[in-house]
Amino acid sequence: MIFRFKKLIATLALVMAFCACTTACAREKWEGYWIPEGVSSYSKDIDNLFYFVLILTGVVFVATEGALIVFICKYRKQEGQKSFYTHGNHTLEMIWTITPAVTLIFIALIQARTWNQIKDSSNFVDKKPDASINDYVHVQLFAEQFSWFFRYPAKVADSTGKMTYKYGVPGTFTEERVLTVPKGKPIIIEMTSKDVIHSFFLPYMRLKQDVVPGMMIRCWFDASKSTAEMREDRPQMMLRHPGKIIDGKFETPLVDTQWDYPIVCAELCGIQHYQMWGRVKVLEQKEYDAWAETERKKFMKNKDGDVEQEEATNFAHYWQVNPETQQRIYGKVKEDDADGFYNKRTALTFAHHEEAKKEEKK
Amino acid sequence: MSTAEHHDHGHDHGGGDGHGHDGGGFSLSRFFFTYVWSTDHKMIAKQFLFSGLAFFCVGGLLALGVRWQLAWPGTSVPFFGTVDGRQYNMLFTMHASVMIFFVIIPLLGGAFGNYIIPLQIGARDMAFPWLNAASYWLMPPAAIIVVSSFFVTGGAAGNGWTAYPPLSLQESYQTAGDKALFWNGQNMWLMGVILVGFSSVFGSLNYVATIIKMRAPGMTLMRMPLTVWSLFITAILSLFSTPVLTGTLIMQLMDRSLGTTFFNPGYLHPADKEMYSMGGGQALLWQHLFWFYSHPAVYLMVLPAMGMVSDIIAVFARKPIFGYKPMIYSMSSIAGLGFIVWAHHMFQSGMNPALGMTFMVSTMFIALPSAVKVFNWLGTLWRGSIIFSTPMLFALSFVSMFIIGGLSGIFMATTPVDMYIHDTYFIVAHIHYVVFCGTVMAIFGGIFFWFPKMFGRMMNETLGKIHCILTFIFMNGVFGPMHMVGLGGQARRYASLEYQPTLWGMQPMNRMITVCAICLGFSQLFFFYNFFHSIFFGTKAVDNPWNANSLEWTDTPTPPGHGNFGEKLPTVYRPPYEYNSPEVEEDWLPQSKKLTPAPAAGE
Repeated sequence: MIFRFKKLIATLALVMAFCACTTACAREKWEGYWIPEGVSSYSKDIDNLFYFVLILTGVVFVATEGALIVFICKYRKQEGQKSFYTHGNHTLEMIWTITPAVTLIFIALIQARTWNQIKDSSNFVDKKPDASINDYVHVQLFAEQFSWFFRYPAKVADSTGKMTYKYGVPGTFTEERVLTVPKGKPIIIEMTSKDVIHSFFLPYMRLKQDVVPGMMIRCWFDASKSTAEMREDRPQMMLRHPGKIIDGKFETPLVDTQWDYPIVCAELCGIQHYQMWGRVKVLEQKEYDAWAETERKKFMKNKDGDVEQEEATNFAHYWQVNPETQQRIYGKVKEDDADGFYNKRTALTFAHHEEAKKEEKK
Repeated sequence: MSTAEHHDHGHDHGGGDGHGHDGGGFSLSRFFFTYVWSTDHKMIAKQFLFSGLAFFCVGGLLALGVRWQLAWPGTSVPFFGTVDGRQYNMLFTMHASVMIFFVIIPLLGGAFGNYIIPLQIGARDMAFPWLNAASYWLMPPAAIIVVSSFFVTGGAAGNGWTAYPPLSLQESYQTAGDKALFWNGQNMWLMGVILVGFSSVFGSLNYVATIIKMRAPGMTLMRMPLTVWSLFITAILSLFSTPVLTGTLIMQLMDRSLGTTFFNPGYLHPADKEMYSMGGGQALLWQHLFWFYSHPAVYLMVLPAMGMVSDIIAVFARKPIFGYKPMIYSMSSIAGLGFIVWAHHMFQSGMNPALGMTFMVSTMFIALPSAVKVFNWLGTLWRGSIIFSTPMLFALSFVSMFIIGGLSGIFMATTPVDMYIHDTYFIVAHIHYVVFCGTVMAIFGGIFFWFPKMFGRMMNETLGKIHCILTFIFMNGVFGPMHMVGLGGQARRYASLEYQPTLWGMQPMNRMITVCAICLGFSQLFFFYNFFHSIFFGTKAVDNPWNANSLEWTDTPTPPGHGNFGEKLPTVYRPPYEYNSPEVEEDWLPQSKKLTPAPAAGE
């Protein structure tokens, strides 16, 4: 009987090895069944922690499952053989309580630094006493069903002549879905949601943060590789669509796709939760500066005192603070936004939908 | 040997026997009071068992709908039709809700708890039989409410089983814009779960009272089988945590229907100022309150399984359980720590990061008792004399799968790693390894193990083994690869990967998972055929088919009559796991067997 078990286990091992090999072969560089390349400065720490836990649990897994299989094979009921009568062993219990305890405390200790570095907003670059706006980029994120809005501040001089980021003044501008950032600089994001809870997930930066209505949450990330550099490793290629109905038939067409850093909404937010996509565009510092300057100028007064576009000041209501209580006032709609940003954007969205419908009809 | 004597007594009382096969014509009132409005704990347990299994089918089919959409998005799901975003949300929400609130918790607490506790501690019934019946009769209204919610405007609830506000408060999402509709999916879900909560509180109250007050002479706490211990601890856990859930659900119901704003931080609509609402509530408050119940609920869903597996392993390894007391201490510490780890579901929720550190440490510690339990099961198998019956196969697969589910939890407890894997399929894999590959396997094992006692007939071993092996293979085919797609970054609750081209490469794996899931579904047919066929046509069972030690096997007839035991309650002389004891010739020594001469050691 033991012989048969060995054979069974050997077969299982072969099957598993085969599966692993085919999976490994099927894996293309940028579409793995494994954590993707990390580009933020803390992604290395996270990955190291992951691999550390993986090795540790791997050892425990092999040891315990191995023991289980060995015991099952070895201690099968045999004629004339009695089981060993024991109620346990105090020393053994102590050993297998204290050993995992120490290991778990160790894991708990080594992760604290990384966690604080990522999530503790009092440690962020902009809180340092000598922080300059050249050290970081500041962005506000407004999530709503089912899109992301990134609001970039204007650069203005304060009373001492020091340049600071400021929102709600000419030069502030907003982008939908695409977050454009420079390579290698920390990006500090202040986020809130207009309607329900969303979650801002950047898989390649290893950042995930729920975006909660009624709360302003800060987080940060950076990217050590620009989108162009990532695309070099991942040449533009034909990818198989996961599947859709085309002319009444289910098809998985090949789609010409260009690689981009994805933004994923990781918290259920409604009907189109899975459609709440976004992209991060990581540019070289120079490209970014040029881009930001062009965008900013559109919203600043020119010589004639005109602006190309009006910044949507409606966002201000998220940040209004009662000066007496220092508490944030939520949900106050300005009366004068009749032709404000929301309406404009809604009109744009409708136009977009109309176009999409027309295309579908074609 | 008092077994034979008790056996006779059992048949004397056979008039109220749960089966009522004995003579006489058919009487409607008698049928009603025996099978429907019964206060006998064994009949209530069977009611829970049958309704639990019925809902197991419903929940399983909903899961297959989810998988079908993920594998072939946009195509028509057989017997359901095409699935849009709203319906997809509905499918996975109802899958989780049905499986948790109508299958796992009722099966473990309601079916096994009811059946096993009085029999194993030597009680004639539960402490409060009417409360016990009430605990079951809260389930049908809950079930009716929840099932009929599929057919109201807007469909059943679609906010995930966690029902996070403000999404769950959004009328436009839930009721398809009809603000006045009170009987909408989310309200009905809330009401259904509130009823289930009451049911589980009634049950828990009963178990605690029964175990504390109604043990047979000699049955000290430290002589109770581990199944009873686990159900005892679970009942205490449930008593403390379920009222919190009920209160929280009522708060959400008020938010939804009475205009309170406990969880509503205010809401703005871009175009429609009419849809502007005042807030003042806290979205995170719901998460704290909800997880304060729902984390202990995870242990409600696994502790009784651990207890049953301990019983089964000891019986079929023919060996006393290794470290009986450490087993009890570890279950108690799981329950204790279970109350201070809830916020590990909220590491990325925006709560204070320092709080995250605190909960990370307590979460690390809760891994410890689980590890101790696994080591003790291994210790029990070590130098045992293992019989590979079907219940044992299920128990062994519980242990091997629980190891995976437990170990993958450490990744999530490591907060920085959790930043990446939170809300991906890695989490889905983890919960299913614990609850499906663990608990459901233990439930199958428990059904096979106690089936002879419940129905007086044996289940077919061959079919049972085929079912066990197929389930084992296919569930690993379903949930194993989910770890990998999760690590690849596939977010959970996504109806399609269409908008995430970086994940498109994982679609073949998603299809493979779905194929395995469908096979897993079909494998369950072996079980259902076996179960229903055996109730009527299985071979007759003897009183103690497994040569087990605990009271339900040694001191009651099969199936036990009303009152369970003979005129005199059995007296307990020793712990429950005296297998291969040197004191006797046979390899088992019942708890109630008086040895003559009495062992001199204590005197």
